[in-house]
Amino acid sequence: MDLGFTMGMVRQQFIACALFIGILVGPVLPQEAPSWEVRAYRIKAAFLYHFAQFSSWPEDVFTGPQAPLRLCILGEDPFGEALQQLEGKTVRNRPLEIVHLAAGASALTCHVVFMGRMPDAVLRETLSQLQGRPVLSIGEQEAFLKQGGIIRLFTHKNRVQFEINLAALHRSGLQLSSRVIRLAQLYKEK
Amino acid sequence: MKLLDHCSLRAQLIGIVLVTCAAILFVNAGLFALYDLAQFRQAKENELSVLAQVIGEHSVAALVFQDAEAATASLEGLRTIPYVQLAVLYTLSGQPFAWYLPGELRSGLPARVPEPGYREGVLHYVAPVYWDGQPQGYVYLAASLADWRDRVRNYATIGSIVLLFSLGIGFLLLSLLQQRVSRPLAQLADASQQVATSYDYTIRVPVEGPQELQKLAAAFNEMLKRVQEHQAVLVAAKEAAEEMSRLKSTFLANLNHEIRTPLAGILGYAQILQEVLENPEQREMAQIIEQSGRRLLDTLDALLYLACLEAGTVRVQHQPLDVVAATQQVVAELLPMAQAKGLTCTVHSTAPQLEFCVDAGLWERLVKSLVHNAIKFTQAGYVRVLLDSDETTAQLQVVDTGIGIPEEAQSMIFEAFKQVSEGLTRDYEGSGLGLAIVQRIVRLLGGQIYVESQPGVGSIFTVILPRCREVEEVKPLSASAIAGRT
Repeated sequence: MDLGFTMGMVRQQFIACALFIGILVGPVLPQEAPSWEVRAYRIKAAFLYHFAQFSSWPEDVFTGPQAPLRLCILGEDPFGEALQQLEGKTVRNRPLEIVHLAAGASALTCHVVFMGRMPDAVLRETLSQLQGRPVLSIGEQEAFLKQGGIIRLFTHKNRVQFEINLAALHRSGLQLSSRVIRLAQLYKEK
Repeated sequence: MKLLDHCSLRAQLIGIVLVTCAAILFVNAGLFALYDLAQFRQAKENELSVLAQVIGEHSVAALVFQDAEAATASLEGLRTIPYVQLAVLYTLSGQPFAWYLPGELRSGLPARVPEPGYREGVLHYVAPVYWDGQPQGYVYLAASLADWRDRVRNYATIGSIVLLFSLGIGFLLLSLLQQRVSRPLAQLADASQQVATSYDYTIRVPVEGPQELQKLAAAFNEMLKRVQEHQAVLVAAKEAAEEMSRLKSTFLANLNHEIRTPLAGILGYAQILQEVLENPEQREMAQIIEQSGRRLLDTLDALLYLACLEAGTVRVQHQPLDVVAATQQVVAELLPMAQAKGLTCTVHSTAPQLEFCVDAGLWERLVKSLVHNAIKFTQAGYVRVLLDSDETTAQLQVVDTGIGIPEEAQSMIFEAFKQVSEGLTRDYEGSGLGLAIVQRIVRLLGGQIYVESQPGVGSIFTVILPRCREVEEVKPLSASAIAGRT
């Protein structure tokens, strides 16, 4: 009994030690290397946050100085766990609130909207709803800008890049830092 | 310091001032360089902080959106700033993200954000890049301070030229100005040297230059004036003394002549009378006349000789002399006088031949006077002359068995005209000049005389002379010797 208890203690301690070492070494050891896809979405999630950081909204879209900045994911969420890295972050002293909405839902209460994969008709409908409103719309689909979206993310040569529809941006009344615009490909509406 | 002692005042003055100036200039230059370095670093740091801020502003979006190309492009803007050796943008996690590396840097690209600070001539500057109040990454700039070294080299070159130029001007000015101090001193030195070598007290130095030197020159002139006056007084006194001496000599010569001539007549006729007179009583009278005349002549001789000794007109010629033979000769002359009194008179020597360096005439006089004296004061017994010598001294002793000299009188027997029996009974004829002459001769020969005596037993006169000595030149009294005695 006594002995068994001791053995149990040793085993427990061993496991605790192993766990502890695992925690220490874990991040250093190459875990199963995340696929490019996963890494790209991690970067994209960070980009969403940074776009918010480099944009400015008219004051009246917020209910108060401490009102949160709402980042909405509309439709299908491609980020998975990647959005967790944004939790608890702030943008211009406002807490960042991440909201998941179903495709087709109204995004007017959001400040930044990421539109996941959705049917073109729904997309067009949503975007037309947002036209002229101070909501930074971000998407991935080929025709996103053509349909009135502001920023389109895409990958090129293993790099996440983005394209901006300056006219749509202008119409929305949002201000995006020229520093960001300098880095972007510019889309011209026809 | 030893070397300095060999330099003239002028050279020392110039040296001291120039060294002082150079030291001050060097210290100034050094302090200025240190101050400049501090300023320069501060300025560099300020410039770097501004640059870092500008770069941060410029590349924050590129950093955040991971656009290395854009970030590199904005770093490329540093090309126009030559002292930036390295500029790196680091991500928040410390990975190098974009860099600008114009030259080959020894250390290469730092894999992590380096520590800020100054190392090996390179200023390392690190500043975080902020956006939205949050750090987004780091800017690292490395600035070479090589241009400061160039600057210092320039300063050093210019400084050395300025230093040399200033010292040159300083040298010229000093060469002109130091004369105000050094010339009066040099004149003083020259004048005092001239006075020391030529005894020319009419020299005067000009009173000029700084106050102290003026005082010195004035005092020097005053001293020379005093010396000149004293010298004039002394020369006059000397001339007067010489005149007196000459008069005395002439007087003595005249006296000599005037006394000797009639005395010769008296003596001559007294001798003739002794031969001619037949009456024994009358012949005795004539004999007394002759004896008295002879005593007078002896006294006169002694007096004149003493006068000569005192006047210093006796010339001393030291030459090697066999004193044994010379002494025996003198004693032989006096032997009849001794034998008349029934005394034995002998010469004893430690060696058959003794060679002293003395004046032959003076030696003869010395021995004669002492022996004569001894015979005179001895009634019975003997008179002995002892000669002895060692390495450096010669010794002459005259021992008698005469009346002796009381102790209290022993100190005054060498004074002229003194006889111990003076005042009591003049039992002994003589002028009392014999021992005075002896003493002066001994002094002239550079020796000493001692007397040991016991009344009724006898006396021992001991003369110790240097055995041989360098022939001394008799120097004429020089002006310096006179000045020295005043």
